[in-house]
Amino acid sequence: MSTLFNQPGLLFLSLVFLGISIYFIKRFIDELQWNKRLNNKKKAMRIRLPRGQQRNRLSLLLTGAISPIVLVIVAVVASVNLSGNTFEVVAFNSGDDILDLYQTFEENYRSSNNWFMMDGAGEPAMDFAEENLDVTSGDQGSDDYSGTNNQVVGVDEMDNVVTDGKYLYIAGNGEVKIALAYTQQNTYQVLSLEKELDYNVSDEVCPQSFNTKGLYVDDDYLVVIGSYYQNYCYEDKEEDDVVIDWWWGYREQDVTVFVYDKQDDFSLETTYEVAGNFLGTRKIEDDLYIVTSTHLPLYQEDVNIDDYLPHYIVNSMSVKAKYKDIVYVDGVAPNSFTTFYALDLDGKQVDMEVVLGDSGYNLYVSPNNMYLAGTLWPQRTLTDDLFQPEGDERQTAIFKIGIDGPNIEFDQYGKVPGTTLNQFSMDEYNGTLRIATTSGRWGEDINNRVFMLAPDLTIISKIEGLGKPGEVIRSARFVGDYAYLVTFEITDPFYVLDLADPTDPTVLGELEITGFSSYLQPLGNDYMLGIGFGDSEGGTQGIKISVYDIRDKTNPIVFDEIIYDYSDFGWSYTSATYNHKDLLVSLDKGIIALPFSSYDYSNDTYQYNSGILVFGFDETDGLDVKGYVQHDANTEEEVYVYKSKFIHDSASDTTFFYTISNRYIKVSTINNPTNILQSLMLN
Amino acid sequence: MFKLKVDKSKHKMITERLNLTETENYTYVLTTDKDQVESDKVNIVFNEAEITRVSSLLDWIVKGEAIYIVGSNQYGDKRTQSRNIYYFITAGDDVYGVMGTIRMRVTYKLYELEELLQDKDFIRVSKHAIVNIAKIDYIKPALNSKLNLIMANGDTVEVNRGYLKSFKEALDY
Repeated sequence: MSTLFNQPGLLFLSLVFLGISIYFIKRFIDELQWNKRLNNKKKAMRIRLPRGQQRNRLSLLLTGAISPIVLVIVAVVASVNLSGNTFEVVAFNSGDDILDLYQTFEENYRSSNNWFMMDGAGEPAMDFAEENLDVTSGDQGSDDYSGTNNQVVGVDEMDNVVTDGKYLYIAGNGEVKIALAYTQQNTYQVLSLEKELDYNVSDEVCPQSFNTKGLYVDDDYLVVIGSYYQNYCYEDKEEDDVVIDWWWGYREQDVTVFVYDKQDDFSLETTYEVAGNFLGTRKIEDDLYIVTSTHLPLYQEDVNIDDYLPHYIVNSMSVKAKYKDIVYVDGVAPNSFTTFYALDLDGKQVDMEVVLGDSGYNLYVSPNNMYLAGTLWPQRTLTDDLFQPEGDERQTAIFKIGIDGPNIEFDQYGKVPGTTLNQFSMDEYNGTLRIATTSGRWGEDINNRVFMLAPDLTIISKIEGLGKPGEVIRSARFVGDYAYLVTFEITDPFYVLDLADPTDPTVLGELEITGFSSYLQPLGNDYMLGIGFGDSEGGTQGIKISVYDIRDKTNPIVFDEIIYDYSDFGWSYTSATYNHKDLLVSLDKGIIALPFSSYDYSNDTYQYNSGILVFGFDETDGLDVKGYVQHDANTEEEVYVYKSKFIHDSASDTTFFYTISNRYIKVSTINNPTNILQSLMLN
Repeated sequence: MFKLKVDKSKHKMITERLNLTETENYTYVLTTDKDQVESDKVNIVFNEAEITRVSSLLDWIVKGEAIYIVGSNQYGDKRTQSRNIYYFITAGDDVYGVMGTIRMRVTYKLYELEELLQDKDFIRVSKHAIVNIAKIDYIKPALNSKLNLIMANGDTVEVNRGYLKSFKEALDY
């Protein structure tokens, strides 16, 4: 019944049909009574009754009376099946069951929006070149260093540069470079390249390349995650010469995970291969979680589902998913397998949970659950066309997978209206999932909402209509009982929401400024850092770094802000606006650092500047520009500085600041970041 | 108006054959057993073999003496039993009796016909019409608390609100 109230159109139509039905029923009863009287009378008059005609008329009336009710029931049932949070899990025994399901689905739904993804096949080359460089010091590293800028404490995110306080690990171009960055004995001076792991396979006619997606590092392991992809090659025969040409391809294959034992000189301990295209990953302690999707080309003739069945390989031992273990939620387009893998790095075991259905793209992982959110494109049934001609609002489908260490299990499937922006649109707190969505595309149609979902993903409550007409959510951050939300079209309303009572979320405070933040990160409990766009003219032609004072939740204010107008640089950007892992924030060290690049064309020459902007932050003075660390200034060659890390030396109480570009690792200190102490060329 | 007192196993068959409406307020007792007669009623003791004749007798009892109506149309004068007339209707100052597809002008006023035919199951349904209940095929309630009577010839005669109560009472015999 709540479905009806959530869909005013359907509710209205239901009431209309109910009204029609009641009218017909009343009329039917009336007519029945009158004609019964007439018949009795005629019988008393000893007149034979006409047969058939009356019965036909009454049958017609009864049909008229019941049909609207039946239609309403059908609509509600269909609607509940499509949009309610009650879901039915369907079991399979074979690939044919999935093909049958697909046929039924295609017949039921008028249109299906398939997302066609590339899928990989075949075995990737497992060999890779390993080049040992000189092993230098065996000295200890530091315990105080910058980890990855994770969304959730205790849930590690993959990054392309990681450190463990001793080494810097840098992934890119199909290889991983391990640089010794710090030892207690010789501090930064040890900076040197220790090892290179090269995964590209170049000795074949048609080479395979490795796309290093990222790294994890902990006390025991270095984890390298990537995918091999096959390049496209063709033979160009000219007389007797055979020329093989090739170009980069996108036929990405399954995800490969290399796990190295740090204690044993980075020896390769385990190789995992998990099927599907990479969607996301997290690591909690020794358990690594990977989510992939495998597109099913069901529209092709003679497709054999067995070929696409998710599988994993641990040190060359292969295990395939069983059909009976595949979860399918009835009503979801069966276009792809979404597979959740849990890799127990210690036990070298893999747990796998396969879900058949449209795959998602925004992965949020709490210590207890994985949530994969994706856009559910309207799948319209005949009932929808009849009752909800305009109701083709996009929805977010959420798969919830429970985590219990190395074991994972499909838990729930839920839906909310609108679409999510990124992983920060979701947050689990005390069992409640909070999710921010935007629906609609234009003007008044746009609705920004925050939903509170129970553990079974049913909607407990919501706040809607956030932002001015036409504004969409540009960033969201949930911190404990509160949510901070930025919507934008012309100005930047910064909202503070009180979510302490999941049944009654409220807007506490609102701040309106120019520009907008596309990323929010708390600076302790009192301040919120916003990275986004804004310029001195009140527009968005620049990079803006803001600090909001959120001590008074009912009245957030701008505590400090720094604007870099594009006009001063030609053009500039920072990847921190969309990749939170490129941002370095440490309240403890009083540092905020982010990549900043500019590209200027003046005096008939191009000048490219790339570096790390370093700010100090304290609660009295706010932001203070400490410097701009560049690896090469005013070059025509692109030396792109993209990451910064720090490692603290407790003996001298100095925090060394490492900046990483595609060519160098440079080290300075966070107090004087522009004074480069040592530089290491990477290639 | 009748009470049937026969062997239970034959009750249904005989009721149907006699086209009988039984009631608690009965005047006639029909029985195949002379011991079943009731002193204060009109008793008809019959033999099952004579069931057809009994039925005719009952017809005669119920329908009574025929009343003849005289009317005229373009083909001349016509005399017919009142039971053949579907309804009477006024048009201007004239009163017409409608029989199937035939319509004839009668010399009676509508109130005279009402009085004349009151025991013949004719009922006044509006200022302009009297209908023969036997010729009503179907009753269709209309939206405005009126009734539309679909007559056996397909014609529709309206029961006005003011006559609804008496019409209902007439049907409830």
